[in-house]
Amino acid sequence: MKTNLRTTLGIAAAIFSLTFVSCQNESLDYFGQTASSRIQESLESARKVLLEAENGWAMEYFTASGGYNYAIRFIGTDTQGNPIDSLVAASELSYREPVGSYFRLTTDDGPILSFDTYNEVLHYFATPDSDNYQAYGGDFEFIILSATEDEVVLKGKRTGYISRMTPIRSGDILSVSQEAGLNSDKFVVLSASGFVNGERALVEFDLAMRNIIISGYQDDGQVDKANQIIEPFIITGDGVKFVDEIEAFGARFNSITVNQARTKLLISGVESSLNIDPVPSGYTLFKDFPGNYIFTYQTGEGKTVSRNVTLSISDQMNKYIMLSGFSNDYGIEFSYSYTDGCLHFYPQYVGELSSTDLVAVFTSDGNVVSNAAGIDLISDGNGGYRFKDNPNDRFYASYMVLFRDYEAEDGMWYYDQFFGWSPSLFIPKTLTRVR
Amino acid sequence: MNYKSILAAIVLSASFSCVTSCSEEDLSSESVIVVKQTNDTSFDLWLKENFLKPYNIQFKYRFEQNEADMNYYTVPAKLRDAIKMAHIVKHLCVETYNEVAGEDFTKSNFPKMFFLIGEWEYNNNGTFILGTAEGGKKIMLSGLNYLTQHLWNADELNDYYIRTIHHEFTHILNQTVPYQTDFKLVTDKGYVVDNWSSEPYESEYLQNGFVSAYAQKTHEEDFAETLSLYVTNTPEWWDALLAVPGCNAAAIRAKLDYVRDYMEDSWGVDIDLLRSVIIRRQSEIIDGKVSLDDITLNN
Repeated sequence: MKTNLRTTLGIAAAIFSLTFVSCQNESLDYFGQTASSRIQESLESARKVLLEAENGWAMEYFTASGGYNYAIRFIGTDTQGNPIDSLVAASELSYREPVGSYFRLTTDDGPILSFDTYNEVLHYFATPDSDNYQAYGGDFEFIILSATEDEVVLKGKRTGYISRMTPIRSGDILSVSQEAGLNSDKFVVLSASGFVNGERALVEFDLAMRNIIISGYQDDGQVDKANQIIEPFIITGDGVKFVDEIEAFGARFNSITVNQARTKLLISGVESSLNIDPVPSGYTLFKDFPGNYIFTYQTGEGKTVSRNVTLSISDQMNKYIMLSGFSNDYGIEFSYSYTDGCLHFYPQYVGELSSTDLVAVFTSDGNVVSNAAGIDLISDGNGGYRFKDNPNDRFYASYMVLFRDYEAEDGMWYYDQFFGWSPSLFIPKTLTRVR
Repeated sequence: MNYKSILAAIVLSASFSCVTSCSEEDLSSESVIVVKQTNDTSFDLWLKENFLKPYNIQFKYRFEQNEADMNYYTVPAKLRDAIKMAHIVKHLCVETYNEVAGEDFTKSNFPKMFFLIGEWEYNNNGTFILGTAEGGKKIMLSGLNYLTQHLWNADELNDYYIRTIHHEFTHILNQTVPYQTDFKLVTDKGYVVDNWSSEPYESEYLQNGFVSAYAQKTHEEDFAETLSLYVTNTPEWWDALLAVPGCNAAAIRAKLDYVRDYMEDSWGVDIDLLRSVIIRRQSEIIDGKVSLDDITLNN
């Protein structure tokens, strides 16, 4: 009985303690508002901040393909003046005309800024294609980490990259983007060598992917590739800047500048001596290619022909130049190499006569399509270009019938990719700029 | 008083004190969930009048992560192309089924949600997804940002978008009322799952008794491909397809019979009538007789 009584009292004590515990939460209210109210308040506050920057925001937009200067003006109305959250955007790669779309402030992983209708500028790096099914490492939905009138910090939902926006104090989104574009055009540093904190260092810039590669050296004098630091950078008015601080050679820094004479790299607060290596001879800036030219080439019959042609930028990332005018209907695209400052030809389909009959331009050696090694446009030093002297410097412009089906001897029908093509040879000679 | 009585008394009083001690707080009459009401665009208002009110169909043209498949990299749809697609879906799908099977059929069975994305859903093997059906209620259409370039060519419009809608709607009907399992026995050895886009399957589907390469994936896709290709193409096209040398036309005809019976018996839809209405309405779009940009409201 004594045991039973103890058990009874024990149970009673437990019930009482539970009773009191169950009521504890009544007196604790840390936030004063519901989570839903707080996040809504946060979104309202962010919206107010975004809309109040009258000239818009300069955005350091980081992607897996590097950092780029964007500019966005958030507007509380649509083009008809209706109270709709919309925006116009430009970037250093596309600053000729701002592009409009909607935006939405919403919640899922916290307060979210979503560019939820397509915008050719804002969604460029997030747009996949058949060759890049994972796109180019860009975000169009961002977690708002903080939003004040001086800075908005965003984190890409898919990539996790941090992008920062600061209000544009003077000028507008076009002028800011244009200035950023000019800065990027001018930044032609491929590598620099020297010492950082007394250690031998090599700093390389992949300008196409906007990644910096920082290397030390092994005892045998070879570059220490196993311990390279590779980080995306964005080009500023005086050098480059990184998403976060980089730690290298015992120093921490988030930017590197170029001296006035453009001969040295400088790291603020760090003892360094980094001499910029010269670019290859004949290096042409991407921005210097567009213009009108006379294209001279030799036909397969040995006849020399000259045509007025135009070179123009054909993509947003400043990597391709289109040569138009060679044919009335088709243009030929060249890819720009930031490594050697040349335009490179690659075999390509240039148009279609019908859904099955395509036109292609390619190079050939013994009728085998090659990868066109050697056909590069080299500056002649007088504003014109010559094609690199190489026996393979030959183009074939071809009318090509693709995917035509035919009946084979076995009575079955097959498809043939290269049926009925009739290539005509031309050998490019020079491109002379028309002043 | 024995210990059982003591225990009962204590539990009773504790419960009472628990109830009374916790009953002081009144529930707030306000919901803890606060939802920001975004303003409707003029297109939103048009969608309400033309899809939501008459058919209870949500037409989502702005990107929402919860509606998208995050296994794919894609982007939102262009507003301009979303407006065109809404008109196309209305004229070529919703009103087609109204005409063929009656408004009640459309209201009861047509998908309750469309979700648009701008790019195709690219796979890592070079193929891409044109659209998906989900839960018998939702159709996702991809590649909206290419609509304008395919708009004035009936074959392309069909191949990339319209056939996709009818294909996905077929899945939705099948998810509601299953078709006869005998269907899959016609070419039961021919289903090759993801190898459909590899050779020899990609080019020899007709010989294998399928209307398209994709139809070889599974019997569900075969059913949807057979119906959607049949109703979105002319009788001449269909006859020419089956007349291709080497085509296993008997298998395709046998499967079409199952499809025809299913649609007639389960849904009261004559697929030949459906085909003629679709082709007529498709011509009206290609010929520019239907405005695809007008979002003014009648009242």
